Amino acid sequence: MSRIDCEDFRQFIDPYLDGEFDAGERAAFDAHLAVCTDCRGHYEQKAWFINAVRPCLRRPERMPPGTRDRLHARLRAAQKPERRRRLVRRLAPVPALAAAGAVLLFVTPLTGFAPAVVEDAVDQHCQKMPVEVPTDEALQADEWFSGKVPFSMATPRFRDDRAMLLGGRLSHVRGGDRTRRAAYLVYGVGEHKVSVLVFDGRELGITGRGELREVKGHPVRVHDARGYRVALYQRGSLAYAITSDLPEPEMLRLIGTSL
Amino acid sequence: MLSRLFNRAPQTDHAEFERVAVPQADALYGAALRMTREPAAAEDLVQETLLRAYRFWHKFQPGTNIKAWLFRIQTNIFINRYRKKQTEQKVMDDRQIDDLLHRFAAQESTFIPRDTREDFLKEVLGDEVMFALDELPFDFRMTVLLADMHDLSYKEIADVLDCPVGTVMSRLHRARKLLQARLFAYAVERGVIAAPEGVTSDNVASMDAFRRRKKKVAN
Repeated sequence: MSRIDCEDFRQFIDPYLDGEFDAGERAAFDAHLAVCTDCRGHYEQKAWFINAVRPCLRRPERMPPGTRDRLHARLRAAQKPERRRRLVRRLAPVPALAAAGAVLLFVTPLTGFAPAVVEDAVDQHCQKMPVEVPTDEALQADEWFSGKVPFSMATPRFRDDRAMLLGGRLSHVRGGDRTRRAAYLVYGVGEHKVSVLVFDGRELGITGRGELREVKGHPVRVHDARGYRVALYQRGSLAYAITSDLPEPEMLRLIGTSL
Repeated sequence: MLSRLFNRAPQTDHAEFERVAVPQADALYGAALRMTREPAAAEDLVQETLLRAYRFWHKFQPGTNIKAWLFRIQTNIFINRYRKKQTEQKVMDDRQIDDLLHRFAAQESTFIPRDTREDFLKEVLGDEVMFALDELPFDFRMTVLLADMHDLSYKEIADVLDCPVGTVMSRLHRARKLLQARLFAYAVERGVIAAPEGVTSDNVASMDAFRRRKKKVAN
């Protein structure tokens, strides 16, 4: 590199300090530094500043333990390739209702304000929170929730090739005058995300709003909320709120496979 | 969306991935916090980054900088997700940065005299450095993060941020000037350094006004 002047020096002071230049280039900068008091002051200030600031920037950031556990759980889950492959299949055309085996009866077209549980279900569905228990086995999910929720957990088992459990986490649902614990599960159904909230339905029950449908003899209330469909139904003392952007017939058919 | 995360090339060497990539999780998390500025989003970003890295592990060239490779993946995920929001904000930021640089970053006005350095280190070089960093526009913040926190070369930074090496150089130059200007202003506010000529207390006050204005725009 030929001789450099003050302007060059100031313009390239950062790469000079960062050791980006080769020996020949460095020598030209060194030579200028040796004869120019102004640039030397400039250089000294800059070098001091960078060296002073670096230790503050480098204070190591550690993941909180929960974050680390969830990360490792997801990485472990990703290392089981066979089971995961099914997920990448594209969503097949929506099968005809009759072929799906679900008996649907239109009963009464009640609509109105969605109850709090519908709002909660959509909120949970929209959130991109990591799962706490990444698993594709309902049994494992049941075990994980045992002791964490105040009811005997029964993770829905959808008997559908394209449906796959991805994991779950603790959640909550509003009902009456208080908030109660709920189990949140997320499934992949083809390219669609399906969320399931499970909670104690004895006091809460399923309110009389929404469209009433019947799937395999079970009443199911379907709500439209914020562009999603939320289907509510009860099995024994447990209540289920299923949320997704699947078309309603597809959603009811899916529910049918778990009943 | 969900399925994409799990769809990976079959030949990933688990042990090698665990040994080389997974130990970088803390570094990725630290960077993710600086990118997203919130823990939940940072956690999500790191998970996606390592899952994608796992899926594309066959593309990593052993012997090259694993950090640079992982940061590139993480930056791409972040930018793809926030691209729109970010470009809108970038225009704003660049203008404001120029404005601020103009007023404060003339070398004379942010010169930290030798006899004040000890106080400067004590009073200003703590959390303020991170605050100042977090306030930089995304490209500037990333450049400082990769260069001064993680020792990446300009070439590696250029790869991560997908820009020419010359751009890395000028961004780093401006970003460091800006950091110094900010920390200098903190020091003046705290009486560590006397406000030099040309930087009156009015100017210092307008630094606060600038921050408030910027926060408003960001919200």
